[in-house]
Formats: sequence, structure tokens, C-alpha cells
Amino acid sequence: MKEMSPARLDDSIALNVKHQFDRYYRQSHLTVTILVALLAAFLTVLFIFNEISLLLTITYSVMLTLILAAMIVVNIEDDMIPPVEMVAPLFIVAVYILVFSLVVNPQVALFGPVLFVVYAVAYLYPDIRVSSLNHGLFYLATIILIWFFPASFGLVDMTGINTSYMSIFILILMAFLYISSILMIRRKRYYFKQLAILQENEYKIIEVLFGFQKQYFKTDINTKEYYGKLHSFFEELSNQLGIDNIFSQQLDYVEALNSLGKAQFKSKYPEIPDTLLEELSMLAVNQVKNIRHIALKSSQSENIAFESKIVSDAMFSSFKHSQDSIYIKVLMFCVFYVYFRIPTQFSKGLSSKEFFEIMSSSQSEKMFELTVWQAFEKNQKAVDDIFAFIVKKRLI
Amino acid sequence: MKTLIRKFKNNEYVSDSEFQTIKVLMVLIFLFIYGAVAIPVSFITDITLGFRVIVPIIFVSFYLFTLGAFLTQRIRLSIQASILTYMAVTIFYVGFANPILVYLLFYTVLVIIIVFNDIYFYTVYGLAIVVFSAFYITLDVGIFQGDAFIVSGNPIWVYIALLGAFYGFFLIYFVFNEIINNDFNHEFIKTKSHIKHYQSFILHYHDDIQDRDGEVILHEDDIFEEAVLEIGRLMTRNMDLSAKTFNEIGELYFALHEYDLEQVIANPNIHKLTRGYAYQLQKYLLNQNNELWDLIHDFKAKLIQHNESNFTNFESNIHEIFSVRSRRLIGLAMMYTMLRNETTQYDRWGRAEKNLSHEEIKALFNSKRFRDYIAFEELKFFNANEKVFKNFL
Repeated sequence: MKEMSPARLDDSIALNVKHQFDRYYRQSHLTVTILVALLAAFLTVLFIFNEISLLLTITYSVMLTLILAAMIVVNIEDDMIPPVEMVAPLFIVAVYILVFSLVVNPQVALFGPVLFVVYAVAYLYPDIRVSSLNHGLFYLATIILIWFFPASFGLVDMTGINTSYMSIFILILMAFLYISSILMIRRKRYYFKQLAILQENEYKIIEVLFGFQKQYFKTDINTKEYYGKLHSFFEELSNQLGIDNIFSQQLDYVEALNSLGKAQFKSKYPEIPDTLLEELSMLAVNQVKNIRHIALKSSQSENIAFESKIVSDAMFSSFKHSQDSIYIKVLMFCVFYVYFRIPTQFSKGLSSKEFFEIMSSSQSEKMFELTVWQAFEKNQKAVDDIFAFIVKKRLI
Repeated sequence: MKTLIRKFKNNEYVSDSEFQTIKVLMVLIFLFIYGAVAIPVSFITDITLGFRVIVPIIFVSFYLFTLGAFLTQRIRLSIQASILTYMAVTIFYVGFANPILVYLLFYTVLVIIIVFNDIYFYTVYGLAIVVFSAFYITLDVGIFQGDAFIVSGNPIWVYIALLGAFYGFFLIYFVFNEIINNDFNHEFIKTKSHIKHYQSFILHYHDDIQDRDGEVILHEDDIFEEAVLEIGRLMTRNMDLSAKTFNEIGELYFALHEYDLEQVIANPNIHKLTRGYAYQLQKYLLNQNNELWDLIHDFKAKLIQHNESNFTNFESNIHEIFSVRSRRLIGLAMMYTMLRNETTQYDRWGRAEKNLSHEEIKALFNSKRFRDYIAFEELKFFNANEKVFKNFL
């Protein structure tokens, strides 16, 4: 094991956050697609009811169908199709333009508040760009309508003062909704990040557990024996099923990957594609996350007692609980500092430089009260000297 | 409020109630402006005296009630009060404004409720507004202005349908959000519980290894204690705090490891202040699976790095991890081998030394919770070939 550089840690967490967010985005897009389909159905009924000319009905129906078809297509995950995040703003612009043109078209004269519905549809995207676009377009469209097409809202005899009042009123409301929407999106991202950190920590803590098990049982996993058992198992299984042993070569690859490591394995077997390599590495027991970690995790599935509770403050461990005395906050900093620096049978202890750098780069200093951390920073040299002096006594 | 702004800036966890506090504050400011504009207008408008007097009184009372609830940290109450305050002002407009304008105001009531992002409030109060607006549009008695809508040129149902669609679409948004939040909560709490469990194992091994090897336990280690107290005294002096008080609390902390904390906290013969410190310290004792142990492991996790990380696959289910059946079966066989040959359980004496037997693994594989790790396809395969698993792995 080596110390983890902050860049690497961030990469891995950022990747997990992206993975979670992409899934969430796709689910949002799917819901938006359904809502746009409902909106299209509503508009069709309105066309029929208002006896709009056939040509116009067909024109708008084709345009709506095209937008809907494009929205459905981007749901398919394929390299040839652009990702949903990239094209979502285009869909929103397209729907706004279409509905706006319907509202101002004298032949259709669609009722203005249909824009509220479009706004509600676009609100679903968890994307700051789309949210900005949605609020901006809604405000722009509404302002144009109330100033130049007030009849579309059913407003008649409106004075300039009334219209100005309305414009400001809508602006304030939109600002509220915009802030609220941005806060929600940021909060979601924050949650995803917390989960990503937790998920990464989980596998690393299992790694710590394996280390303790090794020390406790004074033995480590015997990979030779382990893969040997698997070879015999699949040979017997293939015999019983009457099939060729299609597992043997894959197991050989896994064993090679386990002993060579990814980089060397790649140069020895350049024909193995990256996607296959990723899967094989999940079967190699010396990787950060592999099937051994999953097996251990799964072994606890019946032992874990948890109810579906709401994530709350209490779940985030910290050294800065507001109800705790400042003396306890200082004490806990000292315990933490000495814990990681003092040599024990389990660890050789971090150097002062290592401790400080990892604390800062991983932003772990945030778990302490700011004043406590500042006091440490200010007196770091003296703290290190005291620590070194006292620990030296043990060696004497 | 300062703490909240700091939390936002530092990207720290902001609880639901803190989040709602910010929103209530925003709405309170908005309501103040809204009321300040609406009420004076009534004096120059031709409306009945009842409306002119009663509604402003209702508004002011509701506003003060909202403010009171907000200042006393009754956030949910203040949310409801602020929604009702806004509704009151809107109904006030019903008395004199253009009916179409009032209709548009119904949207804004929904908007105010949406800002709070609470499915319960949205369902109840939002529905109330939609139902009221349906009457307002279709009836023509008293405050209801059906006639005005009939002459507007649009079919009546369009007004109701659009407000209903706006309400319905946002309701879908809330339900969708609720599902996502529940998934997140479930995953977060589950992972947290798992980690707590691993840490409990680690603590067992940690203590047993120290005991076996005759090593001094950390909280009994004089050097450890001396270093903690000496550094703490230096820091407290620099923070203009009492080094003497720090020393007393520090000594209490190390001493508490030898006692039953529940008894110490409940003992009336011990000084109240001491019991208070003991209560605060119980989550940080070195010999328990508590908050300190959590934070130590969070940090330990940050120290670990492999040169060849494959932490790019976030799945735990082998059916999802592997793209073809042969590798899924290799994964399944590996899982079985590990569960059978490695220690994963506490034995009857509470030692972390037990492996699972074939029958226990079979029960585990067939349990509902295990669907997080293998799909039915793999389970079916295992059940059909369990003898080979049992005899060869």
C-alpha cells in the first residue's frame, strides 16, 4: 500500500459521482420524455378542439414527434448517440420555441399559461445549465407575451404600470425558483459525493480489515491453492454439464493478472481489450476492489440491522459537535494527532510532514473546529518537537 | 445563519431543516414585499369593507405567526404558516383584481409551495389551490368569477387543465425526487452500517492482537497519554484557554476507559460538570466502535492507495459487474470459495473466527438481501449444482 495522492482520490470519487449523476440524469430525462409526450397529447386535443387547419396540425405534430423521437433515441446508451447531458438544453429550447410559436400564432392562439407547463417539464433536469436556460426562456417568453401579446394570457386593458408590476413580480418569483433549483441540484451533487466517498472508504476499510486478519491469523490468502481449487471445480462442472471448459483460459488470465499487475499484464497480453481487463481485474484478489471484497461485504448482508432512515447530521461523525466543550475539541485533535504519529505494532507512524500534507490535501482538517486546526498550524513546529521529545523516551 | 453560510461555502453537509430555514427566510422576505405592495393598493381600490379590513388583519397575523415560528426554530410550522399567509393575500386579490390575473396568481401560490420542496405540503396545499381555482373558474357566485372566464374566448376546461397539468407535472417531479432520495438514503445508510460492522471486526482483532502479543493498550500507554496532554496544554495556552482545565479533562478522558460510562453518567454522587464531560467524551473513547473509531478509519482509508486501482466499477452485483455468463460463474465460484474458506463471522464465544458452512452459504445465497450481490440466474445455477460447489470449493 502507498499513500494516496489527492489527485488520484479526487479522480476516483469524481468518476463515481459522475456515474451516479449520469444515471440520475438519464432517469430524469426519461421522466421528461414521458411528460413531453403528455404535453403533445394535450396539444393534439387542443388542435382538434379549436379546429385548426389540417396543414398546421400536421406541421406541428411532425415537429413534436421529431422532438419526442430524438428524446427517446438519446436514452439509448451508445457511442454513436450523444449523451443526454449534451443535448438536453437543445430539447428544452426546441419545446419552448414550438410552444411559443403556437401561442403567438393567430391561427392557433394557444393559451399563454401553457408555458408554465413547459417550465414544469424542464424543471426536472438536474442540470444547472438547463435550469438557467429554463428560467431565462420562461421569463423572456412571458415578458414578450404580456407586453406584446397580452391577449394570450387573457389580459385586456392592461396599463403600462400594471404590466411593469407583473414583469417585476414574475422576475422575483423566477429568481426564487431559480435559487431553489440551483440549491437542490448542488445538494444532490453533494449527496452523491458523500456516497462516493463512503463507497470508496468501504472497500479501503475492508482492506484494513484484511490486514488485521492477516496479522491475527498470521497467514494470508494462498492464491495458488485458491485458483487451483477453482480450476478443479470448473473442470468437474464442465464434465458434468458436458461442455468444453471455457473457464480455464479466463482463470489463467486472472492468475497472470494477479501476479503481474495490470501494467505488465497489458504489455504481455496486448490483445486483451480494456473492458475485458476491467472485468478480469475484478477477479484478481490483489486489486483495490475485487470479488474478495464483495464476498466479505455480502457475508455481512444478514448481520446488518438497518432501517430505512433519513440521512441526518448524526450520521456524519465529526470532532466539532456544537454541544461539545472546546477543551474536548482540542483533546480530540491531540488524540487523533498522536494516534497517527506514534509508532505501534500496527503502524510505523506518520511523519509530521505526511500527517500535515494528507490532512490538508484530503481536506480532513474540516473534521476539526477551525480554531483548533489554526492553533495547530500556528504551533506545528512546537507540537512536533513535544511529540518527538516524548516518544524518544520510549526508545531510551 | 452565519454557520449556514459557512457550511454552504465549505460544501459541508446541510441538514434538511437547515435547508428549509434558508427557504423560509427567503419566502418571508418575499411575503413582506408582497404584502407591503398589496395592502396599500386596497385603499385605492373599490372593494368591500370586509375585504379591506379582514384580509390585511389576517395577513399581518399570519405573517407575525410565521415570523414567530421561524424565530423559535419551528421550521415546519413556519413553512405552513408562510404558505397560508401567501394564500391569504392571494384570496385578498380575489376581491378586486382581474379574474384572469387572479388565475395567474394561483400558479404563483403553487410556485411558493414548490420552493419548499416538500411533497406533503405540495400535495395538500397545492391540491387545495387547484380545487379552489376549479370552482373559481367554473362557478359564478360570490367571489367566484366564472362569467369572466366564459367571455375570455378560451374554453373553460383549458384553464383548469393547464393549472392541473402544472400541478400534476410538479407532483411527478416531487414523487421522482422522493424515489431518488429514498434510494440515496437506503444506499448511504446501508453502506454506513456495513462499515460500522467491519470496524467492529477490526476492533476485535486489534484488541486481541495486542492482548496476545502482550503490547500495551493505547489508552493505557503512558507515552501516548503524556504526548496528548502535553500537546493539548501547549495548544490551549495558545488559544487563551485554561491549560489546567484541559489537563483535568484529559486525565478524565483516559480514566473513563476503565469505567462503565453509563454508570458514571447516571451516578448522582459524581459532580454534574464531570458527568457532563463524560457524556461528551463517550463517543470518543479509544476502546469502542464509536465516532472516534469512524474518523480514524475515514483517515486510514485516505492513506491507502494501490498503483493499479480498479475502483471504477461501482457495482456489487456480479450479474452487473460481468458482461458474460462464464465470468459471472467464475465470480460466483470465487465468492463461494471465499465465504467457505475465509473468516467472516463471529463464533458463539464472540470471537471473529468463524467461516460459513455450505448450508449457511446456501441460506445466505437464497436470502432476499443477497439479490444485491447475485441475480436469480446465478442463484438458479448454484442451486442446480450445489453438490459440485460443496465438494470442490
